[in-house]
Amino acid sequence: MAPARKRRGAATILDVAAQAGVSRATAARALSTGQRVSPATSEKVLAAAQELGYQANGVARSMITGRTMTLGVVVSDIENEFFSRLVRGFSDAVRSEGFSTIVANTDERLDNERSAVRVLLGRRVDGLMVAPSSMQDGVHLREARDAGAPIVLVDRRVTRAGLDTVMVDGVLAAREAVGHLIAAGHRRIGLVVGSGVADDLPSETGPASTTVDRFVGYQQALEAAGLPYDSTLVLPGDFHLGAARERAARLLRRPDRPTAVLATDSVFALATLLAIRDVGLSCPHDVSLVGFDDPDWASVVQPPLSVIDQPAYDLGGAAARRLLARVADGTMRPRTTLLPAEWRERGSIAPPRLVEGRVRADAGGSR
Amino acid sequence: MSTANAGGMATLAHVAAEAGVSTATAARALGDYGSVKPVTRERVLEAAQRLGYRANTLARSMITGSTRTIGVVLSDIENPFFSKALRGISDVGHRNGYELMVLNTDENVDIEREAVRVLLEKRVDGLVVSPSDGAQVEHLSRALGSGTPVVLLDRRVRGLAADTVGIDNRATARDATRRLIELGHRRIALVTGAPPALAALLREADRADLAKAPGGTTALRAAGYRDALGEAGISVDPRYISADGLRRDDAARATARLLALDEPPTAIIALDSLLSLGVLQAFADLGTRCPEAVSLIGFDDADWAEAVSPPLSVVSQPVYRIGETAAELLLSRIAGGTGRPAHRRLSTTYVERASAGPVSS
Repeated sequence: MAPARKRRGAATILDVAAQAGVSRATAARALSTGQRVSPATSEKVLAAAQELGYQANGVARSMITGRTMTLGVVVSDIENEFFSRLVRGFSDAVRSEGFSTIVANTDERLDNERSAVRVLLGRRVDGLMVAPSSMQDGVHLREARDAGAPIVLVDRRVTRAGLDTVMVDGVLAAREAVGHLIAAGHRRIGLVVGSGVADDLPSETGPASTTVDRFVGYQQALEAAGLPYDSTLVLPGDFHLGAARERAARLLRRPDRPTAVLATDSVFALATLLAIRDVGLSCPHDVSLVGFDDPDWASVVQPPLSVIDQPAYDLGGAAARRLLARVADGTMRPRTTLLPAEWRERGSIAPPRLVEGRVRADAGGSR
Repeated sequence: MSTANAGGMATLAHVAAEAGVSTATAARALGDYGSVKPVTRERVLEAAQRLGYRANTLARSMITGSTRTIGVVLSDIENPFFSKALRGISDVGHRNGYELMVLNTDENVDIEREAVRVLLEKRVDGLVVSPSDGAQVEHLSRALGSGTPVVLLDRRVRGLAADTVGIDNRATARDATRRLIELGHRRIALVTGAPPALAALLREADRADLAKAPGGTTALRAAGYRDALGEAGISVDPRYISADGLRRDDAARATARLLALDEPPTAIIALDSLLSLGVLQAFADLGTRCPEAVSLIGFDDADWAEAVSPPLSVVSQPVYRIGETAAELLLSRIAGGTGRPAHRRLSTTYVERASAGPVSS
């Protein structure tokens, strides 16, 4: 085995002890909180530590206490505002309890998620918050739990996981959003959604629960209004802006295009907004649009976007509190916590225009 | 559930007990070194499997001296500049087997000091830091001194022997200001993300002070702005340099105040994309026509820049690449790279859309 790489110039506890003129054991006691040492000794040791730039070894201490005071976070896309807010909410909540956060990004890939969980457990994090990319495959998560690691799922659920879950009710949120479009008079409503639903090619691991729930909510809203479900109006696909923009543009170029669209996340919403313009149409007069999540730009684009917002920061905070509770007491029964989504009406919904001109053209008339 | 799981994760001692061997034997069997009888190894591996034992890479790190972790200290991961840079750092780190420990400072140097202390205590192999205050960096010097490599994101700090990656903040701001001057503007305002405490310094600081100036990149950009005004014989109006804080709504407030002046600016430069959104929000709220009444140039491009009204003209930084480069420099130091600090300056591009126009007569 290779010898330890000595940290060049780093003072050790022996150096501090020597400088302070005390034994190593005394120095160690003085530097760890809550140990009994006389005030004079404490002062001498602390002064020596300060002068030498001594840095306590948290890794070594964790070997003794069994706690690393770090928590792991596994999310699919840290660049997406929803996740960066969520992670911020989590790390703010745990920081006040003295925990640091290690962040792993998975790109919505299950293999990355499995290896991130493995690596974080190897680092002996005291607990994990995971936004699982597959609704059906949670084996690696249950195994981690069975091995004794506190785990909380956030934003998405795993079927029959038996794990604490903190999320928004996506079915209800999507139903509400589509309900607003129906109330404005729309009958042909498109859906831009993640892959794994409708006629999309099934993947080995299946979609995230958010994709499934929002699709189900969309269908339920149509059914409740007595409207037919038309699978050609559903555009599943991956989350990249460029690809989503092209998919949406293709849908909007069709003569039987929808008069309104529900975009199931903020990237899809922006993609659809840009696509509406790309094909020469206008929002909301030609196509109404509702998005999921309320990114910073939503109130500033033209038109300002109506959204069903998820409280991302609060989701992170709530998941943090649940995880900390489980770190303290691993015997708690797991439960699901649902936070409400919030509807924000801005300017992207209008009643559907009657397209008489087009009807006349189809019937052979000129325009 | 076995006793191991009731108390937390299974340890090597638990596995050894379960397999009926000594800890040393279990360690050899699991670590795959030394001599172990095949039947013994089997028993140990089975016991480990049953208990859900995970190799303790943290313990191993005490022996190898490496935790395979990079500490990242940023102002705010919610800011798109930082989340994108973090993505770049993360992708390079991940490819090389490193995880990231991320701490937010909100541009507060006390929080930054504490963050660095925590990361060093956790024995991260290196740090990427976006420093809050160029005048207060002793904690970074100490990290370097104790053998932990540090790479600075986005700005250089004189006297600190750390690699840096960023753009030429001063020149970029100067160019953006010149563009507006060329369009005929003389009343040009700067919406910075600096906190109110820095306002006085930004308005009065001499160029000589800038190398040690607090406020991240803001002071450098303010200097570039002043350079351009100076070249054109335009005197700096301190009321045109706002320091209301880094959030979108702070920028909206700053804009409202600027537009309420007796002589409002005819052009605004916003120093990041969140601030640009705030300015646009204020324009929308006040019914200010852009660029007809007030032009706007923002720093940092964004996916939504085409979708706002008017589409936003920006100075675009290669943010993801900045993050990647920072991680690459850090990994090379961690691997033992010596030599003078590297200062990588990446170039910016100006993306002309529709928000910057000639001054109306």
